[in-house]
Amino acid sequence: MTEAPQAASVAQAETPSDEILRVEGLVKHFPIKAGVFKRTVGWVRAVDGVDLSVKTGETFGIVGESGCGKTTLGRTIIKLIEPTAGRIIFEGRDITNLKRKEMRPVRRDIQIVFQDPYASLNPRMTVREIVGEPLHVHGLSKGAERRRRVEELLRTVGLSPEHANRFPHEFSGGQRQRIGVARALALNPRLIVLDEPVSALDVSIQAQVVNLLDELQQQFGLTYLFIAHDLSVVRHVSDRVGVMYLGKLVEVGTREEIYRTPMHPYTQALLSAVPIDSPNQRGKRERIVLQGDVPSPANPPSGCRFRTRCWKAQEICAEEDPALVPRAGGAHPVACHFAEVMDPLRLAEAAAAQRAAAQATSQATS
Amino acid sequence: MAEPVLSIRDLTVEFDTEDGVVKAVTDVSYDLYPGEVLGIVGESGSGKSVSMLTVLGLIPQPPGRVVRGEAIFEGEDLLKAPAGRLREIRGGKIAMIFQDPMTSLNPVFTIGDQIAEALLVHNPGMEEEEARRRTLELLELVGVPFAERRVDQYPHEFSGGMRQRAMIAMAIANQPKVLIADEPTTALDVTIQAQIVEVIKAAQRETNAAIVLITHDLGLIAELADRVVVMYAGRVVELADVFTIFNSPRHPYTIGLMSSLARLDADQERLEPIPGQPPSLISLPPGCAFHPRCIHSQGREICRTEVPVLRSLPGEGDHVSACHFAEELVARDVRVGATSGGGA
Amino acid sequence: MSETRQGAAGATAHELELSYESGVEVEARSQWAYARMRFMRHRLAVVSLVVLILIGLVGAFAPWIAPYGFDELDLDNTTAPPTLEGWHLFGTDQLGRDYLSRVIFGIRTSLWVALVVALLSTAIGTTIGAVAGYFGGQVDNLLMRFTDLILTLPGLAVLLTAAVYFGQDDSVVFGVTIPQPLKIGLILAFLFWTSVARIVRGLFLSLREKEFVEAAKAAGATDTRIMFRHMLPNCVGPIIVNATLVVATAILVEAALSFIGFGIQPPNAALGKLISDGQGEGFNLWWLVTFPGLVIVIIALAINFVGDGLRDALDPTQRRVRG
Repeated sequence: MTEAPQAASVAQAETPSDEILRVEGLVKHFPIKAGVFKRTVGWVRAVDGVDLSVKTGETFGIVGESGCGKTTLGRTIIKLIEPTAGRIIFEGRDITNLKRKEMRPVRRDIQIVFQDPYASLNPRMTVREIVGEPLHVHGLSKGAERRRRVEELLRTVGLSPEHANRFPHEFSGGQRQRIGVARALALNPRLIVLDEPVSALDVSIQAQVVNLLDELQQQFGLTYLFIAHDLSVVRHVSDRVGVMYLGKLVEVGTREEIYRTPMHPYTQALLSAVPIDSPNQRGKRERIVLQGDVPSPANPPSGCRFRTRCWKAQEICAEEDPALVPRAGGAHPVACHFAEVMDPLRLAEAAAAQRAAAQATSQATS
Repeated sequence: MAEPVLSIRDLTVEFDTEDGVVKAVTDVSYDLYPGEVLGIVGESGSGKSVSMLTVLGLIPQPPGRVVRGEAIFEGEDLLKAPAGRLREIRGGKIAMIFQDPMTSLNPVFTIGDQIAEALLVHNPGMEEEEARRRTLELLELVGVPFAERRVDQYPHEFSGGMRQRAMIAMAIANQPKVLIADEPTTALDVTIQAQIVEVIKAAQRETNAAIVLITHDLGLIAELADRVVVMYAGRVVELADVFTIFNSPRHPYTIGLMSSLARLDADQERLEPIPGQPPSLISLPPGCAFHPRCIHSQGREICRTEVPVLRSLPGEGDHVSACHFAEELVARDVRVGATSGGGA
Repeated sequence: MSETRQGAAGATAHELELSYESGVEVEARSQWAYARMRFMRHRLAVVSLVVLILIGLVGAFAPWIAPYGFDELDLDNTTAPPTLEGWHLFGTDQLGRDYLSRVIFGIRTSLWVALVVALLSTAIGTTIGAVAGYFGGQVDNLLMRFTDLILTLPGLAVLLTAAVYFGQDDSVVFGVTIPQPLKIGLILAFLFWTSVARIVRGLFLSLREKEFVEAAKAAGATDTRIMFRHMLPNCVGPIIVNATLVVATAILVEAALSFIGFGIQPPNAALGKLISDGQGEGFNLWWLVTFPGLVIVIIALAINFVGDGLRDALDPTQRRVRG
């Protein structure tokens, strides 16, 4: 009797009502095979213990450089890749070990948009077939009804229904990405994994697609997991952001927390490395130029994985893997033994102004 | 200003394809002055790389075809130069850095051999030992650590960033007058990009070469360029010094490009994309190629009928723009507006 | 400032409108239309195709086209050189059979066998290659080792042995008669499927990594659907090219087999068999060797040219230049 309510509260704690996706200790290691007999000689630790929680209706951004495992993470979450360990909980249901058949109904709720608008559309199929494919696979609607649905989807993403009979190669990059979005929308999903959806597009077209995604999110109440390497775009679209480095999240926080009060040295270096957006800022940004390259995920450094490139690294960093927990000086989780706030984006004057403003508000509140 | 080191006039290049004639660049003219960084910015299909590739004789002909124009380098029209002469100039007085260092380095030779080769080819009579010594110097200059050891490694043993450094070392090996960097950081990660930007700056200090920086990345332009050429649909639409381009652009396309960017240091309610799709270079819209996407054109007759010429703007020095209504755009300092709006 | 905002808001409506009409200004063509265009530019291939079609039609309608039956004897008119008299354009053989008619029937048999070989080997090879490439891992290993095994067989020895043991007569399996030429086709097909299998496996391995395949998986499509609806259509070009080359090889190998007496057996006329029958007479009856030989050469050449043309036409790397 005393235990029952406790159990209930545990279950509830596990799936708060506004949480659509929860990932616990997710690991994906790929075997490295060599020799005539394809023996496994090592493991690429693409994703190596990721926890995250995505709330219904929000956009959760994941940033990181190539090889950090962000794409594998996205693919594993929608189970295009089977995880090595960990749990994936979608709408309160553990989908980690679902078989392919069992996964099918879940696929109606989780969809994906890919990076490359050229490789992600089958060149031998018409737009009608491509967008209608999910409907066909799930046996939803037929004949005239499906035609109407496909045309409606095309209109939704800003394409003309007359385009339905054309082939992908007849479209520009931005239009192709719209087709990919229409396909993802076909089943009325709840969660869409966007894997670098705009990075292959021209700048002026990127903005179109970002705005389209924005409108669709509001219109259909979608939740996005937005994976990208472009920090500016991630800032624009995300409510919360996770920063990934070598298979792990090193910092997770709201957009404000990550972009205004970043605490992990890697996040700070990443932000400072983004090119300035006006020549007026030349020499005014504190630039942290990281030494060396990202280590191989097949053989990551001991302890903190960033320590080989970190200017703060000390002995403890090699010995102890820092946990992703809130640290002194900030409210959001950071995986660094020496986390402290530093905002590399702030220009010298702006910094002074902000400090003054902060002082004023703190005085006003107290 | 001094005499230009490279001067391109009315360059027009077309490609014959199955769908028709692609007008890759049309009437492109610009000058490159000694020691400056000239940014050429544009999106895919704008023709930003074509003019330089043509000058170096690197476009395949056919299907490519130089319709007209000239490219004067040290008093010589490179478009009329024989292939042998161009080979001599390439990698010598004019060197290139490409986007993908993996495909531009030969996988079966060591990095050192390839740089030394570049030296030996262009310096007949140079001793091998001398070449090796110089190679080591170059590798150190571009920041390849343990150069002594890494000089004997193969390209696949180098990471992307290191390969790009090696490419830069090779490009500046012969003290070029002109260094063409075609999307030098596009294939690299942000943190590596920042390193390469520093290396390019160092390389320029060392050689005092004029750099042509071809990119779609406005950030890179903001970081490095002195003057900027903006291209759209095969034509130069605006040309000015970098501060003018960013602070008071006078072409609707440049303005659109600037305001469509997502910003790192400010929150925006909505991005402001340029509407529509880039035109097909086979059937360009009549008149100004940008008019179907232009929010300033809005049905004005002249935009549809007359190709705007590149003209200097009264009272703005060297600032040239190819818009019929460039003067109207004077009041709109989009960039400044966005910055001040973002802080709030 | 407010003006700019308005402009932007206006732009959104404008934008949708624009994307309705703009963008695709180039005339819409399907990929097959492009392939056809490229093929038609290949003069030699087009001519070869016409020649092949003609030869094919002649073979197909042999009983109606041939002036005589293929074993119609005329003992009064043996070993006649080519002549207009009685329309013995290719002359007659030692038994007075009209050689033109024999060649036409020979074409019929040879082409028929070659087509069987091409179809069957393509079907077997495609299936094995597709399964190996799609599933990878152990399945791939097993199937590819089997393929290697077939490849390492000493082809000629196996062919001769198989032809001697199985291929000399018509046989009846479960009440269905399998004509002897068909059996030669089956034996050849068993040896010829390996190249397609390797090609298709390679294509599937690379297609498997394509995002459109992942997209199909994400939509929940079954393996069979992904393999046959999404991946196979992207392999059609190379498969067709390979099949044409198999036809050419099959014709040559069948001719060689028949020539040494292990292929098509009388009374069926086959081109190789005709040469073999004629060669005993040496240069005296030159037409007995020359005409069937010429026909073989023409067919093999034409098929190879058509294959070349198809390869160029169907090669996706030959896409038009985009600016």
